[in-house]
Amino acid sequence: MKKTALIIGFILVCNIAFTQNLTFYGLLPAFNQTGRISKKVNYNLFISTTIDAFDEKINSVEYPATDLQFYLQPSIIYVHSQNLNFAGSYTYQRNNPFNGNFVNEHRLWQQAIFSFPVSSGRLTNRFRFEERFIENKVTGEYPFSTRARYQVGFNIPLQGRTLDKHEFYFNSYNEFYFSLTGAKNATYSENWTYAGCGYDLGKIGRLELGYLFQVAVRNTQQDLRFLNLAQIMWITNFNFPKKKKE
Amino acid sequence: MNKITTSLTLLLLTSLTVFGQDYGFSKKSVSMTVQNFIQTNYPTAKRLKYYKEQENDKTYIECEFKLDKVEYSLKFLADSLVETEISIEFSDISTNQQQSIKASLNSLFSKYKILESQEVNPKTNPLYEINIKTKSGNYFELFYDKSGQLVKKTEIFIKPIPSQF
Repeated sequence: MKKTALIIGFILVCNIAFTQNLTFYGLLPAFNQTGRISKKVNYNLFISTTIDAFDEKINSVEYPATDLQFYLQPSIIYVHSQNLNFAGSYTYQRNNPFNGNFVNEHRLWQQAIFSFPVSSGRLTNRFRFEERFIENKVTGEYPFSTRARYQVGFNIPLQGRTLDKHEFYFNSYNEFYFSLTGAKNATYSENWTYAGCGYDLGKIGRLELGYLFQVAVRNTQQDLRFLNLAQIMWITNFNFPKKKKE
Repeated sequence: MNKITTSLTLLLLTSLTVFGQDYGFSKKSVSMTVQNFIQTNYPTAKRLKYYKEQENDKTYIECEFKLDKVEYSLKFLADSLVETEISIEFSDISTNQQQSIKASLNSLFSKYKILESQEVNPKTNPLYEINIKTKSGNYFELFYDKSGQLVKKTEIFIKPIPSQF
């Protein structure tokens, strides 16, 4: 009888432990530079790091504060029109970058953004298709997987019709992640929600501060990981001056 | 959970504070001189909207309205009217001027589409502003005087739609 009670107790404890969602709080500093290559072609460099800022103890498991992810995303953008852009990229991502158990990911993606004015703001729809090569630490191989993402966003200048120097703006989006092929925990595997306010600093770009809420399915039992992040982003739009012809 | 609630409350408060500023620029924030000018000169103006615009370190007040189904845009600097823009159809421009402008456009671009036409400062320094899109997808803003002669041509560079991650 005691044995049965112990087993049931053990199963219950295991269940509680296994169905545990994890919640973390942190920071996401990011840098975003866009520049012109030609009239129609632009480049973008996006660099960020995701920091879990607090030590957490969940079900007797210690989760020390750490850098969770380093993200480097150069991309080429084709500006078809004011309302339609296409882009492609090679992206490098390193999870747990400063730990021995780091995982590298090489990723290619292609995207289309369709945007149109709504009220005094702009609604954007972004469709992205990713080809991912995520390192398997056991085999040392990089198995292939694919993912589709759809982002719907809204941004609006808060002081006038256009965003001018020393003015505020509001930016928000929700993004749905769908793992299609390869190793996956779920098809609808991730969701990111963001809302923030930015300020145009003039020549040195814009500074944006917001709240990013990331939800990810972290295992095949459909347990979730919640990441509450304070995102701070420096956005620049520098163009190299053209050499004047003699 | 408390941390989430605190973060969301702070974000909401920040957004509300910023939204509470001069988006759309309420009529109360516009000087009586500007309001009286519009009331006197355009007494039947409808759907008045005021905006604050920053250009080259100068702050302008822009007023947009409709009058007899025509869109007007007035720009003020320190309570003085500096620019008047009236949206017109290209076909509303006199035939001779139309022909001159079209000849100029044809000489500059092999294929183009007129997106918008405006009459600028009709009472002081009258110009026509023509916005076009070329076959290759480039955008231009061209200014013509009343004789249909090109005064200024500016290419409009379109910035990419912002995208992160």
